[in-house]
Amino acid sequence: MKAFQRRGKDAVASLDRHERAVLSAAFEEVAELLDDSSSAPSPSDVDPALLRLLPDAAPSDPEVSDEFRRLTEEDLRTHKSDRLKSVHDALAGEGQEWVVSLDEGLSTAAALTDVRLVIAARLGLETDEDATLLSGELEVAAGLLEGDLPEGLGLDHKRIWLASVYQALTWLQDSLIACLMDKKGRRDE
Amino acid sequence: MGPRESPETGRSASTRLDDAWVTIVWNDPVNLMSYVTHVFQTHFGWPRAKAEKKMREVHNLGKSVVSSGGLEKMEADVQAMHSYGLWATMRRSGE
Repeated sequence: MKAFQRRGKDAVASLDRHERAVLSAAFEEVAELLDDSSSAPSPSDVDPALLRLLPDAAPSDPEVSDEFRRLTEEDLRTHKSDRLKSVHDALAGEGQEWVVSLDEGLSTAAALTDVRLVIAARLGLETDEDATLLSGELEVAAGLLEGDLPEGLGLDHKRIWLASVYQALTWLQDSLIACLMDKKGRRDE
Repeated sequence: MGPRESPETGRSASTRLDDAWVTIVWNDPVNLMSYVTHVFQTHFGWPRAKAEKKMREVHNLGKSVVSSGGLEKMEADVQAMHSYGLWATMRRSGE
């Protein structure tokens, strides 16, 4: 995997076939979560991932929160879902390169955020400290998998896999935003 | 419609349009500092320095008030922030 780099009016990353498949599935999955309108985020009994995509707008004022949902939730769901599907489609194509025009860069970055929000909720990341600890977990796991550390520390493979996807998405998003800010910086000069 | 809703707007009496509201963006472990800065620049039209200052408030203090005004304007700002995946809420100013 290669991070996004500026190339003319595009940002271009490079992913192998397996990486493309994993990431495009992740985008599709989050779009499906949003398309399932039975998954209404009411304050109780809610999927924390969905509540993170569609948060309460006014926690101190339930009436305003409800009104906000009534006015905006359908639009937000559709907007996010369309954006995720368009990234999914871009990743479903052939070839190693993931080309994002800088004009569409923010939309792709926002879709990356939505997928990361859902994975973060699945991983239970609630604070900056949790995110730092996760990096440590991944380092330990990498050590174990390379045989540098003793067996038996109890690897949760599903969690490690999710954390690896999360980390890859973070890294890609970071490089994409650097391309966008570079563009904006040059335009502002 | 419930008894507390005003006929003009269909909104409840406690959410009149002329109330002063603020939009708050909260810190979260997911959104990257560069992304938050870029979103602030894009949505609010702030120069880079102001966007970074506000982003640092969010990151270091846990939250920042990013806009204020009538309820409808705040709803639009909160909706935009949610669309970008930022954790935003609104409340009456002074609360």
